[in-house]
Amino acid sequence: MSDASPATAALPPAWSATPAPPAPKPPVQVAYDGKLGELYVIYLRSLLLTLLTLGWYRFWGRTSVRRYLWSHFSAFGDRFEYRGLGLELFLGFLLAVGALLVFEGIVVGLVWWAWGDELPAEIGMTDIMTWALLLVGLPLLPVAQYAGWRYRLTRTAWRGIRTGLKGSSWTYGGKAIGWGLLNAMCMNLLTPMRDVSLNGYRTRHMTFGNLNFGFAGRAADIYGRFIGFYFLNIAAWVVLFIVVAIVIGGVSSSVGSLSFEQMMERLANPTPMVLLVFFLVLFGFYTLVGLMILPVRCWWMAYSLRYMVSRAWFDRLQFVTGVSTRQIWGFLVLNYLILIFTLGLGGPWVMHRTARLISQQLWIYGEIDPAAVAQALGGDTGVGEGLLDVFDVGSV
Amino acid sequence: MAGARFYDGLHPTAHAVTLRASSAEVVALLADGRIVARWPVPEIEVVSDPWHEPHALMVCPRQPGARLAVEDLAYREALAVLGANMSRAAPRRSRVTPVLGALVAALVVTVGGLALLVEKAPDVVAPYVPHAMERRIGAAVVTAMQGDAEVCEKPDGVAALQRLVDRFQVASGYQQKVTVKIFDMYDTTMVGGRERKRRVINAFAAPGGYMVVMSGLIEHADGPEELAGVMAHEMGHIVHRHSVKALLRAYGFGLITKLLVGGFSSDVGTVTDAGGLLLALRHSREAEREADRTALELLDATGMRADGLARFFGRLLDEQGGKDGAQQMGVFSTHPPTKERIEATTRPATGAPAMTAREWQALRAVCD
Repeated sequence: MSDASPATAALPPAWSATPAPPAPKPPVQVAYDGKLGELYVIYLRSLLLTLLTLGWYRFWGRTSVRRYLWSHFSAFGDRFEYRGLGLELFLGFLLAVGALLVFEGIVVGLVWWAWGDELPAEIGMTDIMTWALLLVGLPLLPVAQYAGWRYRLTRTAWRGIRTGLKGSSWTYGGKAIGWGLLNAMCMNLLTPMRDVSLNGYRTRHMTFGNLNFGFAGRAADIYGRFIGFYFLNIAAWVVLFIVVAIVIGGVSSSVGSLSFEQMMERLANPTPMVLLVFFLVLFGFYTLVGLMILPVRCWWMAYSLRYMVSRAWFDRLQFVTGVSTRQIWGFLVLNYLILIFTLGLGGPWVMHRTARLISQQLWIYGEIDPAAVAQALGGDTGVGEGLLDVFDVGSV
Repeated sequence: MAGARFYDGLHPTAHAVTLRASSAEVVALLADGRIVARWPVPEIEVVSDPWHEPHALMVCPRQPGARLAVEDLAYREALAVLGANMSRAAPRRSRVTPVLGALVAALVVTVGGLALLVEKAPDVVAPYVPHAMERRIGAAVVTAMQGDAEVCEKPDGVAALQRLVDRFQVASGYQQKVTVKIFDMYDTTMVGGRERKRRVINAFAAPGGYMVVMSGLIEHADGPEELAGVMAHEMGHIVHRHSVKALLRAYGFGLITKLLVGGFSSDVGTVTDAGGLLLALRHSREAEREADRTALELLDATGMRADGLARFFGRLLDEQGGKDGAQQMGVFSTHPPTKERIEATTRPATGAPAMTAREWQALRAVCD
């Protein structure tokens, strides 16, 4: 561009005298300074009290763990705050149980009114109640999930300003169920649309003070990669089956002298050798799945997570994560193995690993404009996340 | 004097402030000397949790929403002595290693105690479960078991069986009436590519003194002594309330593992469920041995021939070609190996007959 320099020279003096715009500040990370040992003290203490009270302490125990986790996270040098109460979780649980009891009462009443004593003996009332609960419970799950997020967000504050979640948990639940059914009918090919829709609803309804978060994701952006994952996943399963078939063929020709019944008998009266072989076979199978199927899945999930985070914004803040396939693998697969092999006692370890991953991989660009954000009034949701606890999902 | 952060509760700004505290008030000053908060000590509330949070958060109703956050440990200790309401400002974190050790020890003791309770308590509690409740559960079990099978109700046959069972009941000291039901139930097996339908050979004891006899057992028994042996065995289950104990144990085990593993993952639940099942099966095999022992005692007490039980087991074993299914199933079996049971129950062929020939004829024809 040879004619560029005369143009620059022609600028008025006042323009060239303007100071250069300030260099963009480097992004900051969310920090976590909790210690695994301290987390274990809190966790084991509440586990002990939960056992001694036959479960009733768990609401208070969960609250302690959250206080510890939240307050050890900080951004821009200021710690997060969790002000939820165990009592709120407890009352929420009682309310949810009460609502379910009323619902079951109505079901029993209706059945009795419709059939009375003519109800066939083979159909037990307990069966009807169980089915009614499942029929209502499964669609309620995303509703309860959204209500749980709302509870946790309304109890969270940073720099003295509360976060929150607007929107309706029923709308969210409806969307989740609708997308789930539609996606199932389309052989999961709608996954990016579902994810963007649900994630968008959540993110856009999240608030900090009086301002909402924003989300600018579009399913079209990630469809290419998703289709790649979709067929890679199928290919991985095909290869896995071929490998398993070859291995089984090889093994069965070498232990061909053993009939199926003989094998079952050895398994039922285990000697250490039999146990060793059994676990080796099991381990081998899981390793194969772990090596062939999960990396493909983690590759997609890491990509999807990076996309979703990068399309969220708040005021003048932007969020970025560089989470890699390997980190997602550690997050999903290793955490899962830790929980299985410790029968849940690895819980704090998993929380700690998750918190560290967030602190390593969440970057915030830009600076918050204090004048643009003000404390929101109201926005309190009373009691806790009852339904969620009744359906027994989520531990933190 | 110490560093602290002041949040005004209106906007997300953090002011680095210096605190000046006395027993009368806490004052927060900006670097340029301006005062952002002047709070009387009696009105200050510490909202942070000194066990779990690394800072002390103070609030005062004079400035709703505003917060003062102090992290410095020494200064938090100093603030705590200013007033009774300030005591939560002091950190209450204990040293990790000794507390972890104590917690682990306490957990081991608690879990061990609970496990022992679940293991032993059902034996103690089971006799005190109200009979009406037991009866309701039993009725539901029997209904579920019946499925679409016919109930055999020829009065003579049912009465013959009921008389036999009643004698065992009186001899056993079991206080409640035992109700006998005969189901005509079939199962189909594939033999040489052809479906073969035959009567189910089995009997069950359900909670509340219900005894269910499948028609195949009556058909298959070689004489009343074999049937009497099996009935005495089922009476053993009823006397020892094995089904109620098993229910209580399953409930207790489920409760403990649920509390222990929490809601982390349903797969963790699957692992513990499998453990519970193996445990229940071990108890089930022990219960069978106990019922066998009681069966012999009841047969002796009523003066009946007691060789029927072992003979019945022996014939079952022969018909399977000497293949001991329970032995093969090992730790997954509900029953002990049949050979072991035969050895334990073999008795001489002496004693009174279990029922008259006429009664036996009526019972044989009960499902016709």
